[in-house]
Amino acid sequence: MTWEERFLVLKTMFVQGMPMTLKLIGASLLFALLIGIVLGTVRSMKIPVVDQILGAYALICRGIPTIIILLFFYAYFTRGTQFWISVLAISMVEGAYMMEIVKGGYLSVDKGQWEAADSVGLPRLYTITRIVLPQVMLVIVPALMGQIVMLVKGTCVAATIGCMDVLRRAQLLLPKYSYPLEIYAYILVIFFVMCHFLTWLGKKLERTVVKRIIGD
Amino acid sequence: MNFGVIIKYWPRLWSGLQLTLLYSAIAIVLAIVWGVLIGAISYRKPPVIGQITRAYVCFFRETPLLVQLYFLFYGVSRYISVPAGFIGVLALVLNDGAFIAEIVRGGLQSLDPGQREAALSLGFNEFQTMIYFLIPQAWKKVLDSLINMMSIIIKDTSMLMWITICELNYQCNQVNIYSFDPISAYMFGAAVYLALFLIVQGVRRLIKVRSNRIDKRLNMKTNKEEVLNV
Repeated sequence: MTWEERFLVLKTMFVQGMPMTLKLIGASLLFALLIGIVLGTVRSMKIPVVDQILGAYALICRGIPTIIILLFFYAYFTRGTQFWISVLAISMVEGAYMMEIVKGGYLSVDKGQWEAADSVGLPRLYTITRIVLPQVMLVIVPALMGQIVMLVKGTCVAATIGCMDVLRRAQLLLPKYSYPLEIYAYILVIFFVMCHFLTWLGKKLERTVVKRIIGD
Repeated sequence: MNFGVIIKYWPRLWSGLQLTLLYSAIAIVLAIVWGVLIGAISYRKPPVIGQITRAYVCFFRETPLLVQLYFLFYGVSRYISVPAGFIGVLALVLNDGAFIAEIVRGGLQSLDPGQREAALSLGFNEFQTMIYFLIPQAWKKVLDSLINMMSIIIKDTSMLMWITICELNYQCNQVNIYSFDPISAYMFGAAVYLALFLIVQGVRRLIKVRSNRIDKRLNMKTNKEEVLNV
């Protein structure tokens, strides 16, 4: 592959593929976090019937491969672009994992914390924002960042149903520039850089959260 | 859900299920062996190899399995002729082995350093210490996470569909194409994967209950010994 071709390949991947990948990551992350935080909060309250339904939802999303859910949605929904179908499938699956993480965070806070805050007469809002949430954050931030890395890795399955992300663009380049080893290596590096940045950010965030809440 | 479709295409689905189970079994065994090896190396941190294993674990944990599969299948097999099944197992082992290596390393690090020193002082060399003393102790600690990884490997075999291996997910896709019945086709596949997941989780729970019982018995024994010694 000459340098000119290499430049063209990289330019095509970055200009045409990257915006779609970033949009995919952004939208899936938004919905997954929304599902995770809202349903995780609901789940931690242990409402009888709702809890069983959410438990079944978590079990289904943890037990079935994302790809089969994605293909099912792609075959079943006759409307909607590949982008939104991918976002639906990915955020549904990752949202279930995040729901479990958030639930675990809420349940890790001892009931005595609430009672202690009540007994010294703190207002309810103050109890939630200053007593309970910091302890929840301490548990869920590392796990949530790990799950976000999994989500970024998971978005590449969208290429298999024809969502024009960076992987699909690279595949479409292959007939013209027939150097699969090099082109797929670029994709690997792109994903590695994104995930490694997020891992680094997660470590830093974890340290900040620990420092803010526990102190040195 | 239409059971007629499933019965009609049963031979297809059955062969797909067999392939899924075969690849899962091979990948699980090899990934655990590979993961324990890499985990032991990254625990000991020998000068050059330690750096390489760390880079390997870091790289393979932070890139998607699908791209790794494409890279190995379309990239490497262009120059070296290897069957798709070999590439599929290789990618699964490299990817999930990296995760297992991290788990095993964590287990080894949680052990008391005195264990290693005691074994070394008894005249065992590094390799024997690892094989006879450290790995068996760490194994007990990481078994729960390893069984969890098994269910992840079973799920990951569904990715092999994209490198021309006709496993369950591929066959479900084909059934949908032939019968235009996405609900029956994919629900069958989903139910099978869910059943495999539940079986693995059941095994996990059984082992947990058993090891708890053994722990309790051991604790009772040690307590008794302490009492007798006093």
